[in-house]
Amino acid sequence: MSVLADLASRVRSLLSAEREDQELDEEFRFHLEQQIEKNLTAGMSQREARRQAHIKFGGVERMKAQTRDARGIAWIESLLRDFRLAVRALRRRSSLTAIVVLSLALGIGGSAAIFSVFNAVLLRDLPYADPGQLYMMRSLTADGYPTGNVTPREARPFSENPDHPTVVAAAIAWSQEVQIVDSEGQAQSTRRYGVTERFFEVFGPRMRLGRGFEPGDRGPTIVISYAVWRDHLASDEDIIGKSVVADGFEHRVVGVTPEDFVFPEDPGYWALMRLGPGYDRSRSYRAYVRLESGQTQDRFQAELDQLSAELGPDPSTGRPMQFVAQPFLDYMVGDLRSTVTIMLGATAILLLIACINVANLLLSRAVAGAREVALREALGAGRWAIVRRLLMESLLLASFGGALGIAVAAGAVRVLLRVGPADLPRLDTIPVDGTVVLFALGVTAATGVLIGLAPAAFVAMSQLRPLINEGGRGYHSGRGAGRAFGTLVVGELALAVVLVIGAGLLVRTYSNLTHSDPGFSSDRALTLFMNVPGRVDAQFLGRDSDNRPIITGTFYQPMAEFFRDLRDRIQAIPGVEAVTTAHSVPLAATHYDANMLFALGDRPAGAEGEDVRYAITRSVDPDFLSTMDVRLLRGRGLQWSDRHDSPGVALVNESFAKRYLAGLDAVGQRIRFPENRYVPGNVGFQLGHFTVDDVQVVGVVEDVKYLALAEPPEPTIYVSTQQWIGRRRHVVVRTSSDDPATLVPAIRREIEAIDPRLTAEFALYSSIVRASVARERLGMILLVTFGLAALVLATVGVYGLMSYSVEQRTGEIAVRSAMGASAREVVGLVLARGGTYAVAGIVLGIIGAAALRRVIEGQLFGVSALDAGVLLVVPFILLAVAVLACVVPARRALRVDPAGLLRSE
Amino acid sequence: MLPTRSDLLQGTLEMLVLRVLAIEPMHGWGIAQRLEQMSGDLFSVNQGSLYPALQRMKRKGWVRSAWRLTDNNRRARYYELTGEGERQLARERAAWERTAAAVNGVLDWSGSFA
Repeated sequence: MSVLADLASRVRSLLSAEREDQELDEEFRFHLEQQIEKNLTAGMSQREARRQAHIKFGGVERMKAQTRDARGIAWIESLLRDFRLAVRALRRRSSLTAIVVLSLALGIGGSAAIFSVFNAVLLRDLPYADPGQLYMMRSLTADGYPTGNVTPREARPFSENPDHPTVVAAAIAWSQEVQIVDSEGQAQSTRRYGVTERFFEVFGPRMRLGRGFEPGDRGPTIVISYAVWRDHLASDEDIIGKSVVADGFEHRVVGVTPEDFVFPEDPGYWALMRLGPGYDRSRSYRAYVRLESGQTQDRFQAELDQLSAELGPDPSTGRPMQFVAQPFLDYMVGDLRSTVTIMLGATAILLLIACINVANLLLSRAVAGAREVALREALGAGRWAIVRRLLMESLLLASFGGALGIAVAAGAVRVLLRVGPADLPRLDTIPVDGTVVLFALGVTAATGVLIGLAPAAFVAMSQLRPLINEGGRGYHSGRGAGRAFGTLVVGELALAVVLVIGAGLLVRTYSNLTHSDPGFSSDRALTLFMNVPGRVDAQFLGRDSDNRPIITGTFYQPMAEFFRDLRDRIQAIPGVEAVTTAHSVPLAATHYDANMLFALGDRPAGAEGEDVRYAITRSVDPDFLSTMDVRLLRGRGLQWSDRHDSPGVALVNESFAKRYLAGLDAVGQRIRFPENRYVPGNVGFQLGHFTVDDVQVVGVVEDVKYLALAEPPEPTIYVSTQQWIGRRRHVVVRTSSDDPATLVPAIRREIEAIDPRLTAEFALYSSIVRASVARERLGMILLVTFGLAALVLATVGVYGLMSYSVEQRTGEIAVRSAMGASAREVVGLVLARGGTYAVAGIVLGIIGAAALRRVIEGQLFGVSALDAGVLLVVPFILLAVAVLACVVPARRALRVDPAGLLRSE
Repeated sequence: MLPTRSDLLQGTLEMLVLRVLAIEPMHGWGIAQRLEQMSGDLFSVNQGSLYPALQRMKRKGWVRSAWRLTDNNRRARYYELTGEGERQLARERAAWERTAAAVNGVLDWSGSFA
């Protein structure tokens, strides 16, 4: 009961705090007046009666405070009072408040936006059970040349050992482009992932229908992805146990994966793969591993090290192999991790600079208000109360900034998605989710404390009492605050230097990239990628003896005829200068390239001294070189007369000749592809239908940047589309028009004339090149934006510092002027001070940038992280900016009127 | 544990205020006057510290307050003992008397230790 009454009394007090304060005033007034009356009656003078009454009562303010405390709500109440006062103070200085809130909103919003990207890419869980235990087993050759893939023999200790102490399950997989017969009997292109039995144990999806593979599964067995099930198989709920024709065979369907189970590449189906010893040398497989919970990457790596020692050299190449444990998330995210981390770091720096500026603003206000603070303190207000009020103001500012910042973040994410490259992994959606909001709240709280700390520390530590005597322009406060200002501004300049150096390096990288020679010309060109011409493939759908659909025969001739027809039709369009087709073209979708095992010369693979390696192998039309403007360095190009029934020929690029044929004449060398063999029944609907496994090098061509402008060219073999037919084709059309897009309708008409159902994806080659550096461009735009913002903020900071400094030294300047110092000397005084801060900041910044160079090195192309140009230019920019920021304060110093000032003192 | 000096004083002050209010409802200044008279000017310093004490007692439910007019028509806040306040006074008086008897017993000691 009494607890309840107590609580009720407290709540009542809280609700009526203001009225109670008034009542307390009245009560005290009544008391004092009664006492004064009594004293008067006792014969005291009016003055003495009043004095004695007050003495008898004790300190009125102190008693009020104690009575308030006795209400038991003091802390809430004083918090509320601080809050009201802070709101009032901020409203009074509305323009300052607006500037502060806006810059904090940009700072907090910017970091929240970048953080949401970070979150989406790196923090969000992969859609697999316990994703932290998923690893890839990757391979390196002894000389560090990464192949990534493993052979079945290398993975066997994990993939076929259910009792392994470290590994729950492992599976190997390889993928190829195949056809699946849809519910309407049409052949549809899709991807087949050949996987070993325990694949679904590794990834552990909760199946949409059916199950994963089991040890008892016999015969061709598949699990279908949700997308294929929905798009091609009419979402058949009863599909489990039915037969589907895929890759030319009937397969029994045992499962459908859930919708959110996204395997790294395109949707397709998983076929149970049993690999006999015949495949042991084939380095075509990716190995996926799930570790037991509690097992670490280090433990797994130790096992892999032991394995490479046990296995000895790769029997195909005679070279020792190394294996690397790679977390699956790293594999999926790739080098995006470092980009995003750098951007997050950059926003943190920018936010810090914004905080420093705001802290400076608040500090200058605290200094200006120091006299008031001193007075209040003399009147008995605790210093803690004053510090608390300053912190309340800064938290309030930060909260407004944070609230606005979340809105800014939502908008910025939308912009990022628009300008960002479309192919960033895991970036299909960037949710501004709970994690992001939590992050923003945390940043807001930290910001509030950070910006309040400097002024609060100033108040808490400075000697205030002398201020009252000095009429407010006290040197005590001045010197302490000046030092605080100086430190903050130097820090701010240093941070700005780091950002601007980073921005400068990325600008140079981007310029180097866009001016680098890709080895081909994209001028006036467009490409079209042919969606698999189902009509052509459908000609090979047949029936077996049980009248089940199968894919029959070779499709070489009709495929070649189709593309020849297409080429001829496009070539005839007015404005077309040249047409060529190729399995893949530079800088556009090359992830289907074949990494082929090849052997040089006549000796068998694996023999002593044999050079057996991997090289990217691409099939191109004979006129690829002329149409793409790729230079032939030696020998001859491919010719139309090199037909499927004539001896195999190939071109190699410069890198190949340098790496594998150094000291030899490349032309005339023989290259064999020991893995190329015709597998009966497995008709080549995949990447390459290999008509040749033995080619002679007839020419050497210039290196072409295929993967990315920033990547060094890789050793490459070019074979002819006449001898290696591929089912995926890019068509490149070189036009005489500066606007190649105008030819698109005419080309589309020609394609429709062949078959109205055919579709093609068109792209301007120039935009393909642009898209290939989209990530670098985004990084550059972001960092340049941050750098410019940092410059502006640093300028404001220097300006504020110098204005304050001039104001503090008005007396000194006046005396110097009176003693005959020239205008030049006065300006020099200001500039020297500003310059000192700037130089200190620049030196610190360069040291910081040098310390951080490892962070950005991976992002650079053709420029060192300690690039002399950037390191020389940036200090000048900063110095110029700092001097500019001194101009207005210097003019103010010149206007100081010695006589007037001395008179006023 | 022995009560600290301020606890002792505070507790004593509250008991005395309760005693004053047991006579009739009174405003703060009046309580101070009564205390002075009744204690022979012993409690004459820092009248202001009455008010935090009154506030505490109000919170504990021993007194309640209301604004009324004084005899010469001034508005003043009057404090009045509640039932709980009366019981508290009785408890404190009993405790005080026990303490006083014990203290007196010690001070008046004239025997000897066997």
